[in-house]
Amino acid sequence: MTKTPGENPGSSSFSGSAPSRAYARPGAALAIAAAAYAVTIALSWPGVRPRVSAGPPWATTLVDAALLLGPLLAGALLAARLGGPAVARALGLYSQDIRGEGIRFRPLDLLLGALVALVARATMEVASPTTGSLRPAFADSDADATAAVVVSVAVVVVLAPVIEELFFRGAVQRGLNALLGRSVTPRVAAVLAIAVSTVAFVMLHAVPYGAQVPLSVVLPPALIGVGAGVLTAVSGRITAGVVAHMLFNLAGVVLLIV
Amino acid sequence: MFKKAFAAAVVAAALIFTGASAANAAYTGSGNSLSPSDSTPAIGEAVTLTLTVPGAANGTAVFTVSPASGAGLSSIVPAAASASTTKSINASGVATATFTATAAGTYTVSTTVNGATGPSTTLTVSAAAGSSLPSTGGEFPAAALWIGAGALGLGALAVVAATARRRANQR
Repeated sequence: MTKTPGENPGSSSFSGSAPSRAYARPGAALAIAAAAYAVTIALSWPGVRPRVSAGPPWATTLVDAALLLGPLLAGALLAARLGGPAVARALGLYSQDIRGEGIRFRPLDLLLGALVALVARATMEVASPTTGSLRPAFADSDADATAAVVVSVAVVVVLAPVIEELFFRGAVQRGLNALLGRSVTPRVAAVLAIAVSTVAFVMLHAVPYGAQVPLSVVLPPALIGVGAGVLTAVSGRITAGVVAHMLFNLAGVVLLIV
Repeated sequence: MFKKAFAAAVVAAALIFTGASAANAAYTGSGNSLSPSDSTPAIGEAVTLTLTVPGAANGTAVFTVSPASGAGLSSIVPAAASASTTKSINASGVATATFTATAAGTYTVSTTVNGATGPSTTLTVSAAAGSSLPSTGGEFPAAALWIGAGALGLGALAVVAATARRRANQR
C-alpha cells in the first residue's frame, strides 16, 4: 500500500461513500475530453484511418498505437489539468480514506481487478470464443514476426489499458460523475457516468468496422467498461480498473498464443 | 479573354479527368498476375506472393489478406494489425510479400497497385499433417470450463463486496 498526503477527507476506498469531488471544473474537463475523443474517432473512421502498412509489422503496430492512444492520453492529462485542481487526484490515480490520507494501491485492487477480469473473460469466451493469432499475416522473416508479437503484447497488455483507463474512467467517467453529482443523487450520477463512458468506449472500438460490427468487437469493451467503471466508482481511484483491463487483455493474448 | 479562359478550363478539366482515369486503371488484365509459391499451404508455412505488373514499374503495391485474424481484446489498438503490407515494385514490375497463415481456412489476398485494383489470388490453408496429438480421452467443452470459472469469479466478487461493506459499516 502506498500513501500520499490527502487534500479533502471523505472520499471512498471500497467503502461506497461520498462521490468524487476530484474535478473543480468538470465542464471544462469534459469539453477537452470530448475534443480528444472526436480526434480519435476521426482517426479510427473507416477509410480515414491512416494506412501505416509500410515498414515492418512491429513499426506498424507502434505507429497505430501512437495515432490512436496519443490523443486520448493528451486529452486525459489536459482535461485533468484544466478541470483540476490536481492532475493525479482528478484522474483517480489515488483516493482518500476517511482520515484524508491518499491511497494509490491496495492489495484489494489486485484481487478485485483479477476477479472482474476473470468474470469478463469467461463471459466473452462463452459468448464469442477468442480465435486468431498475434502473428502478423505479412512478415518478411521470423524475426520480424517475433518483434511484432512482442510489441503487440506490450501495447495491448500495458500501454492501451493504462491510457484507456486514464481517459475513459479517469477523465470521462469521473468528470461526468462530478458534473452530474451537482444535480442528481450520487448513485444516479455514478450509474449515468459509467453508462456514458462505457458507450463511448464501445463506440470507439466499433467505429473502424463500419456498419457491420461483430459481437466479438462490442462485448470486450462493454464488459470492461462496466467492470472497470464500477470498480472506479466504488473505490474512487482507477487502479483496480486498470488491473482488470490489463488482466482481461492478458488472458486474451495468452489464448491467442497457446 | 473569355475564350482563353474557357480553353484553359477545358484543358485543365481534360488533364484532371485523364489523370483520374489513369489512376483508377485496374492492373488486372493479361500480363498482370499475383502468384503464390504454394496455393495450398499448411498452417505456419511461409508463402511468397509474387506480384507482376509490368505497367507499374517502380510503383507501390499494397497486399491485403481477408479474413484478417481477429482477437477479442478490449483495446482500440488491434493485437495483430498487419492484415496488409506495402511493398515497392521494382523496375521490372515485380513486388513480393511473405504471407503466413496461422489458422486453416480460405484466404483471399488482394492487391492495390498505385491506388488502383491489382490482381488477387486465393489460398486454401490446411492443418499441417500430423500436427495434432492423438485423442487420449474424453473431450471437455471449453465453454463449460469458462462458465465454471466465471461463476467462481462472480461468487468471489460477491464475498469480497459483502466483506468490504460489512467492514465499512463497522467503522
